[in-house]
Amino acid sequence: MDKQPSLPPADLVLPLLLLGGIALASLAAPLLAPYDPNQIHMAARLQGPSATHWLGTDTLGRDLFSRTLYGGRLSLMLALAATFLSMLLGLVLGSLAGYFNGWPDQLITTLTNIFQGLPGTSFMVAIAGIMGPGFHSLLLGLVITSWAGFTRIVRAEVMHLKEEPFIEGIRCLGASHAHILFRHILPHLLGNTVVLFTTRAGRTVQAIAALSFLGLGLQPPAPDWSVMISDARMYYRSSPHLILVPGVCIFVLLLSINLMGDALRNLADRRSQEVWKE
Amino acid sequence: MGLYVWRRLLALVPVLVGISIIAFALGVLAPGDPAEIALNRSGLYTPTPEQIAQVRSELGLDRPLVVQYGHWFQNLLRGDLGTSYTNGRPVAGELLRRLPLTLQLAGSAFMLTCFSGLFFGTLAVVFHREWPDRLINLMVNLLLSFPGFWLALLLILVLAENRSLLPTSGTGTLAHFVMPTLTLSAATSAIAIRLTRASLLQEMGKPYMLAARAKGLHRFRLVATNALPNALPPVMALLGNYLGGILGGSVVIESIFALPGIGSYAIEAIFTRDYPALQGYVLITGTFYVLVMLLVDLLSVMLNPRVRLGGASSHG
Repeated sequence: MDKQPSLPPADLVLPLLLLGGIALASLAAPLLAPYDPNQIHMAARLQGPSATHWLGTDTLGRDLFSRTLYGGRLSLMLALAATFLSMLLGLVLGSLAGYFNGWPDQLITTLTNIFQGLPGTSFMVAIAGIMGPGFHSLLLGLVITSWAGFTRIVRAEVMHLKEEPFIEGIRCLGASHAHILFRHILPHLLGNTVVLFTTRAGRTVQAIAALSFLGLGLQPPAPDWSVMISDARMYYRSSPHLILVPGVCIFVLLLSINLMGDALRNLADRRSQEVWKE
Repeated sequence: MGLYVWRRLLALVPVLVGISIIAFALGVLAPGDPAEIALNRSGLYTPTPEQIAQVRSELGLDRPLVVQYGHWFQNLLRGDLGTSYTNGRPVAGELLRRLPLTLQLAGSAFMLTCFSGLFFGTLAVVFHREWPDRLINLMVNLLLSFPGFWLALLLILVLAENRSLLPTSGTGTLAHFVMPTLTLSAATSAIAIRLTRASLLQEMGKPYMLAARAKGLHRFRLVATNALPNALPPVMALLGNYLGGILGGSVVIESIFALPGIGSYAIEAIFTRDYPALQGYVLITGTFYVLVMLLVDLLSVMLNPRVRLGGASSHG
């Protein structure tokens, strides 16, 4: 089988472009934004789109376009950090539980059962209650509610991999546990991990948005899409653009993450089928 | 089977204890001294340190945490969840008063999720790779990408404001529940459709389906009567997850549509720093969730002989 230079599959192109666009706009927000996103200007409140304010102004006269440009930064950063941290935790604990039987496995499995048994929202609500709403409680809440899911999946995968003949072979050659885990088991987990990361990142974005909307996540006056929608709750009936603009942004972000997850899953499936054929 | 039920019940104990510990920890870790809060409720004077110390020992706050937890747990078993900081009334009563509404909302959203999952999932497989399948796939991706609160606000804009077809808030008539149910079940319906479709497709690839197809069965009967019964168990096993998602989402939906359920109670409790109320919410939703998961698990084992037998031989 000769190797062709591989283009990204067609279904990956659209989500990659969309995500790239959102990332670029968020990164370049300080350069692109015509106004300070937090500059209050009460004389110009609730204006419609115009030449000076491309998307109009919000309830405090802040420029909607500038706020929209900044609006994804915090959520995206938080979603990436939270997903990455819980994934790291899941990889470490899951491979420990899956690889070493006995008490580490029992302890970790019991803990995952407890944490998975809790409905995520009541947990997040509890943490926001203890620590007070904000960035830190949000990050902690997101990690605490999602590490168990990762751990369980990784554990199952490692338990399965451990019994494969090639691992048995390496073990017979005298490889250490660390060598087997890091050099042979972890690389095999990578494909599924990427798919899992994408789908979980989508869920995390959803959770951040919902909590921030309720006032339990990112706090006003932060320029964030969900906070913007929450701010407009009293006014959206007369000025629907206040919730339409940031809402469409969250929607497009989530859609591109979901499409990306689909495309990656297809890719992973195709890969495993190809391996099967050989 | 009996052994499996006992094993499953036994596994429940640490989870329930874990939930109670988390709820208890919420009260301990929460900022503010419950004794001081109890004394300040009247708002007439600032309590002296002696008074605070006295109330602390009355409430048992000066004893070790383990003793406090034991005491708290005993009260819990008697149905005493403490009194609200904001109005001094028992938390358990307030939660029970609000629970039916949340259950009604969650129940209708859950039924809609199951129905749409089965219906559209089956439809997608009957027309596999044809336009209905593509359309349903698109719908699933769109539904999954709507933040629930935004969808709710959009529906209010379109259905209530522009057309005044439906009431925007409150309870009372069936019409009050249409928009909350739709928005609450949007994301879970999408997941249910996707899972039903995937499970059915897997079933379609099996040899017995080839035989059924060879008999010349119409593809609708092929899917609906032959594959569906076998494809359902894995979908059913995830029903509990849907309910978890719905319960979580109901916090947002209750807040938007001004429904006085336990979700909006929790939100109020956070903003008023009413920790006993919050503890009660965590306990009730946690316990409810765990029990539903158990029920679903037992149900799917009962309905699926393969799991039943496999479970008995590998664990037994």
